[in-house]
Amino acid sequence: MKLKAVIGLEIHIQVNRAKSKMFCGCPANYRDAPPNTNICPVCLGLPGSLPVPNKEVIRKAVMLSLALGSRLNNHVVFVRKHYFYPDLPKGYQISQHRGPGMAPIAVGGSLEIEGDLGAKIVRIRRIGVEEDPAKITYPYGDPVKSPYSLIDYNRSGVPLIEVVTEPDLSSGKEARSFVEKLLTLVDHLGICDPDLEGAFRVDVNISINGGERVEIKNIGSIRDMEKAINYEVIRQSALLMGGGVVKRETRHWDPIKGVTIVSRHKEFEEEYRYFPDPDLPATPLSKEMIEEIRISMPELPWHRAERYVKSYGLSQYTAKVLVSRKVLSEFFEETIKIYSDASKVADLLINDFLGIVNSRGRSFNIVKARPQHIAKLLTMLDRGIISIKIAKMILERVVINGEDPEEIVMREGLIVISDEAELEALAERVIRENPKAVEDAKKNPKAINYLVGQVMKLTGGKADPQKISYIIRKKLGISANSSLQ
Amino acid sequence: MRSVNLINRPIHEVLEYIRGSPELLIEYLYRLYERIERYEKILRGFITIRPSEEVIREAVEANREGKALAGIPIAVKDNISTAGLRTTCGSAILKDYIPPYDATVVERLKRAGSVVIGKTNMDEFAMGSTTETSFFGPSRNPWDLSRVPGGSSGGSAVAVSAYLSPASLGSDTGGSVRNPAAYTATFGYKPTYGVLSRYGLIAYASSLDQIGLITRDSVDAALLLEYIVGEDPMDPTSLDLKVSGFYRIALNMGEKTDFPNASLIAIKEMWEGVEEDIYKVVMSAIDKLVSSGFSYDEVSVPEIRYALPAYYVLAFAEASSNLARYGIPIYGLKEDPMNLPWDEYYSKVRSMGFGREVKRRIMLGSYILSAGYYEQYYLKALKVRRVLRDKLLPFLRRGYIVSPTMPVKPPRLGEAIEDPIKLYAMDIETVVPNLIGSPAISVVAGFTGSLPVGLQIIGPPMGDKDLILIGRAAEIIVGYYNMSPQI
Amino acid sequence: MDITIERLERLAMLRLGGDERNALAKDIAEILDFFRQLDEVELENVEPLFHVIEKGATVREDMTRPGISREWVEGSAYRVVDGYIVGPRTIVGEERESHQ
Repeated sequence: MKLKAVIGLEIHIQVNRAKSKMFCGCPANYRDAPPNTNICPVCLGLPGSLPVPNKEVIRKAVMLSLALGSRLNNHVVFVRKHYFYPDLPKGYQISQHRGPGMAPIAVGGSLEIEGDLGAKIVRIRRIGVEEDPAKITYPYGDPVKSPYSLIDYNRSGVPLIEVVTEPDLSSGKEARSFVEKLLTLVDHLGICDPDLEGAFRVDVNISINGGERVEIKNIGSIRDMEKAINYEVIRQSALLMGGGVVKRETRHWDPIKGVTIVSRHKEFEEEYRYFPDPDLPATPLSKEMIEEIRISMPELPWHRAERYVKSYGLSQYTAKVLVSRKVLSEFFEETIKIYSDASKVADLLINDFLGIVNSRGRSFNIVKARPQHIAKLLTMLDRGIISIKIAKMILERVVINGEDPEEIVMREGLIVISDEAELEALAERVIRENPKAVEDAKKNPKAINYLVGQVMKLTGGKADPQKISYIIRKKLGISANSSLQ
Repeated sequence: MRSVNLINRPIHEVLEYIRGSPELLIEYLYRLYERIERYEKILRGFITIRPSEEVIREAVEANREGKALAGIPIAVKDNISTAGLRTTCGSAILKDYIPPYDATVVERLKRAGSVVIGKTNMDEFAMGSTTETSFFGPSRNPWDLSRVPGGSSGGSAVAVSAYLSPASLGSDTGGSVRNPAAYTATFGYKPTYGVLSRYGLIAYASSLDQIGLITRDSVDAALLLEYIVGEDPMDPTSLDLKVSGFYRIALNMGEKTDFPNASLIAIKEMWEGVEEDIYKVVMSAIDKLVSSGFSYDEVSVPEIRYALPAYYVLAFAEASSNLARYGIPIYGLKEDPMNLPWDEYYSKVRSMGFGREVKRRIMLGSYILSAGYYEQYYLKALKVRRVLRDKLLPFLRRGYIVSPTMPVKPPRLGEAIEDPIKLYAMDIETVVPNLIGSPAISVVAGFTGSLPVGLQIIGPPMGDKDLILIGRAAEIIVGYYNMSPQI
Repeated sequence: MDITIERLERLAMLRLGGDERNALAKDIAEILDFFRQLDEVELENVEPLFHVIEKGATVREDMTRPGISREWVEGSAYRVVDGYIVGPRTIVGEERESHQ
């Protein structure tokens, strides 16, 4: 039995780059605030409060629609989506929907990804603007065990842009490619910083071989999404192959157990009673406004990557990683204004630099380094003032603390030791102190590395390992032609 | 010290005396509180009355600071948010709700120097036409204590007509300001939709609701309007109406004024079902106007017959949505949520907190909006709305639509409330302007026996100023304003 | 009426007592009949009038403004624990007992 998975995604992107919430003036960034301190009558849904739409979020939604090639509606229409839940203070969410008198901000469009079998066009079904509900946590960790819930309205009303795809995806990997590309796009458009906690959530719809659709709700990371999809495909396939039938249901992903579980939260019977919000008469979206937004759109990430490949001769891969975060690509461009070897800059940024950022939670907020620091570091390397090892060692301090690399090198005497005599002396000492290693090295040239390492330790990393290796081999009478690596 | 009884004077006269005279202001307020003390237990116009010391202190301060309204008190319908002052909507579910913010209109009045004296009784969540669905019990009509004062802003009308407050804020979704104004011989004004900010008005039906004024006469309405109109960034449906100088015109209108030769248009279908004695009183008022130079015309708009069902479909639908928020454990009626599944918690609190009429409307409203019925009822009602608007705007461009405000005399307590359709039918005249977004007023047409009868005049959207001036003309010509019931 | 009172209760998140239900069922049937008058109007080619305000909703600039303090919430909510508002359990209740 050939099993074909059909997957569609609903991605909710938090417009965390907005200053204020979707319908009120509370700050959109609630992360550092203690619970229930980022609230007002509107986002609490107090009686008598009224929503006033955030113009900038609408602009950004239009921008995203243009970037995806979607068709914009000629009005912005908000609807009320009713369901009762403690995280929804008004008993309805202000959102968008397709129906009589109602339309999302845009429909159609597409995003091309590297699919499992080559390039693939993933079609967009619709793009909508809505508000985030509040956040519920549980005193005993999960809803079943907890006798009550804990509600924090800080997040209530934060702007969301929803992107819904057609079921054009076929695997967890393809889903990952899609979401990564979409997140890069919203990063570059100034809509969302994807590395902030809660920046996006995904609902996945999967069916196999035309069977019933299962929805997995509220997945918060790309990794979890891919795992959940892979698991669910296996689960459904196993069911089918065993002669069973897949039930139409809602599940959620348990990251600890690594499985999808049926939701006990079958609260709302999906009777959302959508109707156009009578507090928000439809606002016209004029052609002039759309044109103005189109003209002011930032460079799209894939165009930027192409530009890097063409102008700087970078590889596709390098360019792709550089544009994966807008702030990284901007850092790159600023750096090459001062230091012209684009390849070297790119290489450092996408490897060591990015590695440091990713190891510390992925947010570029922690980066204190400035482009001139990187330029200086590379210049020192070029001139042989410092070794690669030293460069790598101080990079972290440069990135995290914003220390000037030249100052570090001067202050701490990290200049490379090139004095032959000094190196010879150190080599002799190491040879003297490690007779066993010397024996090993004479038998197996690879063991030289240990001795080289010892000398490097003595120099505090400030020497060229190749030079040391040469000196040691000379002293031990080992041919330079023996393979060392 | 000279003593003046300002109790039964309209605000524009009271201000002449109390501006710069805090002593007269204090005397005035004492008299008001005296009357409240004496009559409130029978009339029950208020749900919450602020302590006199507080009100007098604030009023005197505003007076001393030279503010425009010089400490004039105002009664506020209990569905309008007042910071720190209980706001119940006449419902058990909000009986202890204390809002953290003022409605924009309240804030503007306070800034102009007015002081909130108390919150007035109303039908629960403004759903009703007699003030009998209030959780706090009904109010009584000062003109006949066995009868209702109208609704849903019944308490606001009681306060003004019984001289417990010189003016009130009410709200009007399908007639809730004009209905009690008509029944208590006061002046009632519902603005063009959007002219008064709805921020802080606890919603019943968002596309129909407006804050309205109940005053002793139309000049007071013109006066207060200056301080409360203007676009509000907190209300996405608010409009900008410019009113400077218009109060002066209203004030200076007198018997000798040349009245504008306005056209009065009666739509036959709006007069169907009007009681005989009401008809007579209203027609005689219109006759007086015609004698003074107004023209009068009768036309037929058969679609008017569908205004009432269209209105109720929309009102119920929007109400079910606006009331979906109640039950949340942040404010209002609450229980211990511990161990209760959320759907049980919510349905328990809501069932305990809402009265029967509210429950009826919420259930029907939810039904109307549900899949499969949305087109059948809600969209259809919206289409009828467009038809009515298209048919009526041409009339409103050339004249004013007139009708009795109410088709029947104020019912006796308990009479109307049993039969829902009969109750809804009371709104037959008043729902029309809400549906099409037009301004409307009720002036005193006369009396049948001792019971007041109102004349409703409807104007074109944004024509509020001229409408109030026409109201002033009508008051002067017909001869009834600032009427005093014998309690 | 082709919808049960039970379903209406769920939609409106209400739970009625036996007498209330019967009275309401009758009222609701009557009122729906009253609404059906709308079927008599000729509405072919008429667009619904969703709002009387034709200029659209006013929008706002992306700016912050002060909100309300947590103190108000703490004074108003049933219970607040470490700043969180305590709410009911987020699982559905058992099936309700059928009413007599």
